[in-house]
Amino acid sequence: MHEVLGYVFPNDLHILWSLMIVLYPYVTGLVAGAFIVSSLYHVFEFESLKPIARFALIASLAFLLVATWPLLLHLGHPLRGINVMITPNFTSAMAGFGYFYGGYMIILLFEVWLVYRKDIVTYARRSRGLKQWIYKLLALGVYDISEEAQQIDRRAVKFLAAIGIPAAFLLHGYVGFLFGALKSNPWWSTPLMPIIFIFSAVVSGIAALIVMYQVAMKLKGLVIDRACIGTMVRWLWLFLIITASLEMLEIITLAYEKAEEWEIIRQLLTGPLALSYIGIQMIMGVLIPFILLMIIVLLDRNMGDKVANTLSFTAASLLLIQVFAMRWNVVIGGQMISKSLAGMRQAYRPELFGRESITTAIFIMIVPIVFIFVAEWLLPMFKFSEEQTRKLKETADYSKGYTE
Amino acid sequence: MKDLSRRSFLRAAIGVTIVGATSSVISLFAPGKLKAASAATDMQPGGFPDGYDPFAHLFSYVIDLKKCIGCGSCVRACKKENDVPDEFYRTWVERYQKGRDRPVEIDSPDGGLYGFPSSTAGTEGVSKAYYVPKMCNHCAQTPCVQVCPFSATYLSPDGLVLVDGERCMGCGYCVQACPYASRFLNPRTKTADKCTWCYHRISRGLRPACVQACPTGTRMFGDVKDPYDPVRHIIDTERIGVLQPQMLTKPKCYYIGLDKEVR
Amino acid sequence: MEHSKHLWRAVLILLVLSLGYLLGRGLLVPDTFGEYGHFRGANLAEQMNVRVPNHGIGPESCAPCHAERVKNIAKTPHRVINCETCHGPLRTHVDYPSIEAFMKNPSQFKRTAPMEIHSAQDLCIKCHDAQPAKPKGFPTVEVVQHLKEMGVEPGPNVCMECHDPHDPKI
Repeated sequence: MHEVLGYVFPNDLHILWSLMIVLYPYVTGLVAGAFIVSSLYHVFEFESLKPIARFALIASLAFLLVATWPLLLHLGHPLRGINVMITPNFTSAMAGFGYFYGGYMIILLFEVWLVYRKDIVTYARRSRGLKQWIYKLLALGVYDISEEAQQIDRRAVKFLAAIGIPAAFLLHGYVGFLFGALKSNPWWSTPLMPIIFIFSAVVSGIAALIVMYQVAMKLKGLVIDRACIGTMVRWLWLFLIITASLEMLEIITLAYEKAEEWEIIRQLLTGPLALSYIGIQMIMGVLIPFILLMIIVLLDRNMGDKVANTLSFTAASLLLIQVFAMRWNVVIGGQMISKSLAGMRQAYRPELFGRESITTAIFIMIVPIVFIFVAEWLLPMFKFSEEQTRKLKETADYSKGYTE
Repeated sequence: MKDLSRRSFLRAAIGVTIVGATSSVISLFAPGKLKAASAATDMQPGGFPDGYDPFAHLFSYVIDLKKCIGCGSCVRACKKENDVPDEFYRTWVERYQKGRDRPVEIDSPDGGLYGFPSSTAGTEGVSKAYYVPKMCNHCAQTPCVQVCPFSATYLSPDGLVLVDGERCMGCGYCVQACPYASRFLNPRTKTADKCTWCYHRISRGLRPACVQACPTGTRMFGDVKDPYDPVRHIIDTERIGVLQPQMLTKPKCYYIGLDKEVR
Repeated sequence: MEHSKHLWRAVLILLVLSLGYLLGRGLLVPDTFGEYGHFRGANLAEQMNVRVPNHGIGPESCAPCHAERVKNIAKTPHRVINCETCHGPLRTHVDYPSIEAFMKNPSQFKRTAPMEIHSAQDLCIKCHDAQPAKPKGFPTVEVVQHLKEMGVEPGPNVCMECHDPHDPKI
């Protein structure tokens, strides 16, 4: 039986949007966040982010490829999803999905292609066999990498990265809008929702890059670029502060206004959501990373590489959990309140195995990692030779030595 | 000569492509505009029942709460008429009990399918109590139709909110958007499901099963396009309310004697 | 311009894809979409024929075979109640291919199963149990107390020992 507190409408007993719908905004958040980092380099010219700019693009693409999977797994009739592109109903926020997703996919593929074009052409000339065919196909039969052509590519990349920022905001802010624009659910219905989603997306994107970059460097036996991590930590700290402020603003406004919905939301946050909201999202996910990041930012010069890396890795990992908890609390929390506003579901546990289960979620999160490995095999994004690494270690000047 | 025919073929191909693409763009924003010429107006067998014109009716529903005895006959009739899956309800009945020193107590055991047992909390101090039957309000400005990404749910010409079971992909957005919890995802068809006011009955001039099963005349169904319809008369002359009027969904389901506690 | 050949190729691919989408879309729009509004028009008729009505049209559906019952109950307070409210849907009792065919000539359709009869005591108390939420003036009874007063043992169909639902006199 369903554990219920108070009066719940008979049709409200069921949690309709499962773990998959929690995962979907989480994955698109990573897409948008990673893209913003690469745009910080390509558009805003933060040179210290150069070591991670390409990786950020590939990571964004990797997560974008699986972004629709949780949705399709959730749908009762996934094949009918195509109708959203056939007879879209433009009064629906969801009707834009195909266009936002498709448009962003085109921008991202275009940008990745242009960023890597010089490499693609070089490899197409150098390699043999299957790989050569792949490179030839990717080059679209044009092997012009003259300085003029590269100049054009750089300008195109800058342009794409620039329009990519609003596109990424659109792709993800729209996910927030899907929830924020439903008047039926007081826990969702706030214009802050898309903004919170976007900023927490940037938090999760930067955090994921910090974690993945450090792991990648460890795996490749390369040196972690302190300046790059330093810049990301500063951005992460800033975006964390903005996100946390917005998230708390939402609660404080609800609590201060004491409108009719506050009564049930208060019970929800101190009841069934106490652990995932207060414990994980707010204390473990905001307070602790905030302090850790502040320590790194303020004591930057007095800190050894190892300490700084460990601290940033820890903070970033906690923030990845924070953003997931935030998505969980929004998606699942919102469905726990009955629309009667007089009662709520007491608990929801996703299944361990099955179509919309924890196992599926883990699988979906592993696929982008595999994609990144394949991308690294095809088009290396980290290009230190062993000799360079040794030299860099000696001179401790990490910002030099990168090739385009 | 060969070159010429090839050129004219190319020209024709490009022409077809342009026409096809343009009509596709136009129909994206204004479906039906282009179809109008070719639209089949004749109904095939299995079409509209004899003499039924959806444009000639606009249905409404009135529930007189002063008459409801909470027997649950409507819920039972609905389940049997429409094959509603267990644990889900196209219509249900709620019970409200309140007193000066008692907070409002609401319950709806199994949606009222088996009637209402005597209150477990006792009836001591209850000064006001009533039953409230609920179902889809068939709102004129309904959030569910607004949010459906490709109009698998829609507002019919006779004022009903219907779900096209062959197009619905089961995303559940409409279920989330409905402020009344009238919708659910049918576990058998995996599509959105809800009250249709028994469209298969009312299009044949019959009353919805719930209205017919109601022993006290609590539930009334009518056509506001018919000037002599009693339901239209009630809507025009009585003091009536709708659920959650602040949502501005413009329900076509009206309540007589609605209390402020009811959402 | 001569160095941007690769860009134009990519743009061409994009154009071909967009055209492909638009043409494909034109083919996939359902035939009757937009006929009556922004939805698949054929669904209106589908909804009207989604199933054969299980419930009849009221006592008129029962009268052809049970004229006496229908006439008698019309003299009692229970005349306001549809037979199917207590008995269940007509179609579990008589099978008909369409309600129109049944109404045209009810007697041509054979009885397929006995009519459901909810004669258990909880059918009576669904309506007549004394609860604060019952409307004023509606006849209710405190069941436990009533049975005690009447000296009747509680059990199934206990109400029917004294009351007849088809002729509910007190």
